[in-house]
Amino acid sequence: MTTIERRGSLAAGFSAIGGGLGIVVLLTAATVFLSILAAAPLGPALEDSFGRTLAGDQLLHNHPLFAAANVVDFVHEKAPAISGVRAASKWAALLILLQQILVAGGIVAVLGKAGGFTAGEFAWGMRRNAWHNVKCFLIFLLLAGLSIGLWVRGVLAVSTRAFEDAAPGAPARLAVRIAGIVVALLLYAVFSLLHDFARAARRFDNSVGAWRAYGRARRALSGRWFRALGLFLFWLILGAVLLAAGVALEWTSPAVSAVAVFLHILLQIAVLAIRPAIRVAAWGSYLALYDGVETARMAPMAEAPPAGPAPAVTLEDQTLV
Amino acid sequence: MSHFSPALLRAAIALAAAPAALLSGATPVSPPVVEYTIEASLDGKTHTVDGSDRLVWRNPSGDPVSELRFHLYLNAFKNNRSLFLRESGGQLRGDRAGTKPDDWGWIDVLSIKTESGADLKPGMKFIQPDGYPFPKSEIQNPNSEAGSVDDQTVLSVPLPSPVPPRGSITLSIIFRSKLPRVFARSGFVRDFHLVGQWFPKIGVYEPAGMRGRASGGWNCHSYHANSEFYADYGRYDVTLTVPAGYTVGATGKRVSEAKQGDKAIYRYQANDVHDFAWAADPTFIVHEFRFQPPADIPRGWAALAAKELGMTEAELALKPVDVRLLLSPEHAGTRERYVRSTKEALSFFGLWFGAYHYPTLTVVDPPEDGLGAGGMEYPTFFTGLVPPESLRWPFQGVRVLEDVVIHEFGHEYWYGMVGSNEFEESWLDEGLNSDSEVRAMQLAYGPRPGQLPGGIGFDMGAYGHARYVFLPNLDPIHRNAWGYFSGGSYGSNSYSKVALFLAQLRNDLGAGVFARAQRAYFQEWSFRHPATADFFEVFQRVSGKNLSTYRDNLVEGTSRLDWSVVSAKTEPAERDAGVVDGPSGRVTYEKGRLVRPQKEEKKEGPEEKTIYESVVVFGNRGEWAHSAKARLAFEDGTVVDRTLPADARWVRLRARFRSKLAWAAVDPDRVNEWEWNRLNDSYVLGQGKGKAETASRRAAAKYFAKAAYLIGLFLQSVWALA
Repeated sequence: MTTIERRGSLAAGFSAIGGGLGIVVLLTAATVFLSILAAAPLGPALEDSFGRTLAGDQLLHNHPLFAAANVVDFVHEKAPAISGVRAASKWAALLILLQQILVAGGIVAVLGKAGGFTAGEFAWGMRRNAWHNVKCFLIFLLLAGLSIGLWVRGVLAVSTRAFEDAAPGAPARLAVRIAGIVVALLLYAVFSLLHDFARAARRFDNSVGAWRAYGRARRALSGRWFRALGLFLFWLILGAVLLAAGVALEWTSPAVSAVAVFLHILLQIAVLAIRPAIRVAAWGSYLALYDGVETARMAPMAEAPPAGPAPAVTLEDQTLV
Repeated sequence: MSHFSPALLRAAIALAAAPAALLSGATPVSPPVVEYTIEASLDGKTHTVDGSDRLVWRNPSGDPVSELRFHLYLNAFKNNRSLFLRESGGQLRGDRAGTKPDDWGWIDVLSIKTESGADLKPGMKFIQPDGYPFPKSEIQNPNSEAGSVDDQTVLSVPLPSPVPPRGSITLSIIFRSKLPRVFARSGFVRDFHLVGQWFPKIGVYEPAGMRGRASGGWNCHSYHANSEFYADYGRYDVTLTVPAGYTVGATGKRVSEAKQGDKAIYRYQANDVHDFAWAADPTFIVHEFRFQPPADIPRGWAALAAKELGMTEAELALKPVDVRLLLSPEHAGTRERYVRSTKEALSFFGLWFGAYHYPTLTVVDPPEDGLGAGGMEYPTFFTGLVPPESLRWPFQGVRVLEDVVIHEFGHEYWYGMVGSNEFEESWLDEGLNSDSEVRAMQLAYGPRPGQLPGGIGFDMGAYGHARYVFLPNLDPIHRNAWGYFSGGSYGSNSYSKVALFLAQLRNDLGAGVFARAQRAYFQEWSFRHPATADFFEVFQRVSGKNLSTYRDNLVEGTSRLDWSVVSAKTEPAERDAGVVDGPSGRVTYEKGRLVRPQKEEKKEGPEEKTIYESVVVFGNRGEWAHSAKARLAFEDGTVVDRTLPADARWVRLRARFRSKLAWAAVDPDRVNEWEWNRLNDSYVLGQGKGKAETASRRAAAKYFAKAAYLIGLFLQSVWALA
């Protein structure tokens, strides 16, 4: 029996956006909610500074001489509120990290499942994989942090010494800098893929531990690194392009009238939905790749399934594939 | 030692005070206090300069002078015991001093003799005229009197016999300068050399009466982290020997060049300057051009200057200037930006203050790894600054290059020609120059010369306001440069806060009066050493106003100005009630209706319109008593202006009017540049029409959403971890 739709990894990624629309909405809503919560200390400060003064009017109309000074005064006069936002943002970042760890559990459990999934199934996945994902995250943080940190420090130390007397813009210096960034990105991609695949291991084995899951992920990626990295880069670049376009559109579009301000806020929410959509799509691709590997591995061991309707199973006692 | 004629000195001083028309040509106009004839040779490998100097110093005072004092600025970089390194913590503009043994710099006076051959070296010693407020070094040479102090940037040289009043002395000095790795305006990086403050430079002997002095004496301060320079005007004749292949740019005019084996020899001469700097690098890209007025003056500038100054355009005629631009190869693409901004600078300063005095100007663009040499002025010579980020998205529109060019060129006026004391009154050059820079930039590039993507723009005025409000308000503008409590306070009080003060003064006096006063100040103090009092004397004389409140509060004090709307309300006015003695006898009103004597029923007239009473209280929370304009805008679009008197701490304005008050504001046009907080300057009660219409409520909503959105993007960036 299989509950996975088989298709190309990339196509699976695109289809995951449609199939996992609920997850995209959930991630976007969580971001918006936490953002508003973190920005809350600014509310009264903005109302006081701009809502009841000409300064707000000048800022909204981008007054050529007054707008900049108004921002300066806001930052100066409302420093406590801004500090509050900074502190709240740090807590929000922690919460969103936790949320991502939890949501990944749900995604691994249900994404790509034929016939869709229910909120209950998603929540079950989150609960089941929560501790596993926390451990996977800590391993990722340790491995990626150490290797990327060492690489960057090493490149900096070597290039500082090697190019101390080189002219600015010397090709060798530029080449080393680019190579340093590319390798750092590759290292990140490798550990990120291992991290995602280690979490995906729970798709087939409820009891697999975090360390063994990393081993399984490594074996799954063995011989498929180019494909996996290709998927990673594809979603990274597509996401970056879309996000950059969205951010640029939001940044450059003026909004003065009430309707325009409202539409502007909608645009901001749309921009905040890009990253969730791309993340879900990337998960879709990775899971399709991983499912293919695991299915192929398990096929010789499994007997042909009996014909006819599949028996009813519960998620507790059955892996999804 | 020989005497020189007092008559010559008087003639020279008279020339110095002459109008701009005379301040031109090659004939020197400044009192020739010093004459340097230097021969120097650069070793490109060891970054040392070996030099010999014949110095003629003329005593400008009526005192016999028995000791000479010299600045040995490069000793600031000799070790971490110098005042400069102590005060700066070894860091300036992102550079770190002495990261390697070869990075230190110093200057040794190898020989110093009088014309008659008397050796002055045995008597010379380092002194610390400004004290040394740090624990002393334990590493001292007990056998060297000269080396017994930690800071060795001022050298005292006792003379065998005093230089008589108005007399002169000629010295022969042999010195060796080791340049530091680029740090604080001078030094080397790879083959690039900016050779500034590189020779023993005699201090300024100020006669009694000069800059408010009670008695004559040396003004020769130690080199501090937060101070620049001060020197006397004179003539420089400098011959430079560099490795062949090096391109050289220097103060003054190149009068000869020759090749001698693997060396190149260049000779430069300059009159009416108080310093000499040069740069050498084999990779410089040379671009020479001529500033040719009137063709190179931006359109409309001459007419605007003439209008403000009350002069004709013909009277403001400028002179051609030969400009030599030395570009680092990585900045080859910035050439036209340098050319354009240099021409704009020559135009602005020339039109508003007086024509550039010198026939040449050298602009040096330091390399990316030598930015510590950037943004520095020397007479007829300055360095630009092009941080690599400033050429990349999203900062290309910020115009750092243009801003620095205009600022550094401005120092040819405020420092170069008007020789204020940068140690003691840095505001007179950096501050005046910052104001000029803001105005020139806005004239050339619009009200917000700095632009970021998305229509975000700012000007140096906003930057100045930021520094004004963010730094603890502990120092006045005027004080010794090393006396400010921090480098930031020195920067704010010497640069941006002065620009705010001058903008305030210009708004109060009017652009025309201000422009005439500033031009007069330049003309009268060119090639002389003015003090704060001289600045105010000229401005008071030209404006005909007592400006002591500005000097006491803004320049010598730390007073702030903070007018605000303390409260504002508008509500239906109470209707007439009570007993009133009118022309036809006593009448009684109740809620606006006449109740006694009862009159015959009248026909229904037009319904009485509601009258509103609006009450606004304005208050000055600052220490500086200065007037401001108050504005009341009513919902029907009516706008009423009133002046709030300077001596009032608070003013209550009441209005009975047919319309509700929409908003009230103080200083709505922002003529009070000294204003501390703009957010309390207005209060919006409601929405009006015309001028009374505001979009303030929407602003609060929009910027809250924007803040949440930016936080959202930040939060999603954290996803990279999970």
